[in-house]
Amino acid sequence: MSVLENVLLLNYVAVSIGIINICLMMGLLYSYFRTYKEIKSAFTVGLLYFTSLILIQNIFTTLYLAVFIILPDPQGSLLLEIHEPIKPLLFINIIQLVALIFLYKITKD
Amino acid sequence: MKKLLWWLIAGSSGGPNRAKIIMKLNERPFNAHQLAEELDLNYKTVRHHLKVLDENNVITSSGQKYGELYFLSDKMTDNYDVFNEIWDKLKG
Repeated sequence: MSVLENVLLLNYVAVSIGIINICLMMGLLYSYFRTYKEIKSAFTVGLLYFTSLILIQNIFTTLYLAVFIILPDPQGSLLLEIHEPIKPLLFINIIQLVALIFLYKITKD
Repeated sequence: MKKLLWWLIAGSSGGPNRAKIIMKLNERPFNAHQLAEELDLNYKTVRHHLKVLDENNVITSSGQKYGELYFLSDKMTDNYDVFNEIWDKLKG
């Protein structure tokens, strides 16, 4: 596989994981919101703020990664030039995915 | 205990139902079926919440499998004011 195809593949994977993260976050947000409706307190509000911010962060990261896919770049020259962030972002996304799975499991029991 | 209770009631899902179970058991011991009736909750849901509360040492049980009675644990009765503090934030 050429460097370009390799990078593109990692990009797709990173975006997919980003989307999964976003779905998990929305699930968490929904859960915390339901509890917030019944119990209004600093704790429940805090959970909502926390989750919303991490969700926004994930949306930004995923959009950034998706730009490489969305923008027309037939020769792949753009991608080749500025592909550096993809690997670290992929790594971050994977760690976030694992972290979110843990949090999701303990929230939903 | 305080942080744990906050999480069990205000963090994880189904928390408010767990709080209702705790309040019921504060009146007197009940078994799972009775709690489901009293609180108008699904039996399996109640069983699940009881299991989580038991794992976290909030409640204990009489030991026999069928119709097992649940009680608040000593740790919980000692910390009941913490629980009330959390529950006071309940809307309406």
